[in-house]
Amino acid sequence: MFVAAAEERMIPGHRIELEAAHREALGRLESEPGFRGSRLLHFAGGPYRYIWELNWGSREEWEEFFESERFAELRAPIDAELSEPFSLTLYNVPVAGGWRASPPGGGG
Amino acid sequence: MFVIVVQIRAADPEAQARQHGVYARIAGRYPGMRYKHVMRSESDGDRYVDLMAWETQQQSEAFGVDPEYQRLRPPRSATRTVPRFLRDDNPGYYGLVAETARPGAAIARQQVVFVDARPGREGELAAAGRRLAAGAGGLAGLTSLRVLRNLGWPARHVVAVAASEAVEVAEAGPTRTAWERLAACCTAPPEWESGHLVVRWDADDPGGT
Repeated sequence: MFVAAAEERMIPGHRIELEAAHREALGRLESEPGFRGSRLLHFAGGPYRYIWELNWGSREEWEEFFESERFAELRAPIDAELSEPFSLTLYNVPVAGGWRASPPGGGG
Repeated sequence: MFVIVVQIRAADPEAQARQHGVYARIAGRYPGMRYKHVMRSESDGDRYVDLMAWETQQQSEAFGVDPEYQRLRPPRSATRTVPRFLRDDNPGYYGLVAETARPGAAIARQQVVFVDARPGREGELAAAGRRLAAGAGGLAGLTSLRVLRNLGWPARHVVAVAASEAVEVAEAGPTRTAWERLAACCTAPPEWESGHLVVRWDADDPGGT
């Protein structure tokens, strides 16, 4: 697995628009070959900082998407809600797992 | 409790007081607003520290999209200019570690300090903060002492004091030891900042200042 993480800073007051733009982008990503899922993380200590994690099957699949026009088209509505250009960091994933839909032992 | 702490630079104290007063009036219409206290620094008259408390973050966010409040914001612009004082930790989102408060008591002076815990000593700092708040209940003239922890950076804490007369928690009998323990957990010696109140809104006294 390969992860592309975009660090984003929101224009003050644009939370609803920014999160809506990410939801719309997620809908587009679901048809991308190699796309494995994403999370939008909102910094819990303040309003403006977000990290958007995009998970891919391989670096090659990410790069095919990243170098296409589809990436720019995906980013444009999101970037309109940012106070500065996003910064991108890429990660290999040496260890993964442990996700649970409910607490250990059942319930919830 | 969810507390937003904002450090602001502005040169016009009357305009700042008017703006914060309007914010308080609008926010007071929303359930869950608990207090808004704005301090103007004595050492730097262009610096303000604003503490605004809500019962929950969701209630704060409901206020954040209020149309009247949004009209107070700078308009959207192609340049997306953002005031320089706004950063990842400013505004900061905080949770309450401990407090002692006397509702309705006067506020003649405020003090605030921002501290960072040494790695691994965050829990110890919070424990010292709880002892500090407990001891502060014995201080004459104290209106409130609150210890807050940043919800995204667990090392970052704020201690905010409001009093009707001069109170030095670092020196007073009931709080000196707890303060020394708290300070020993910090990455740097804490530096208190003092100031006076320019806006006060409390849920139990919405007439405010």
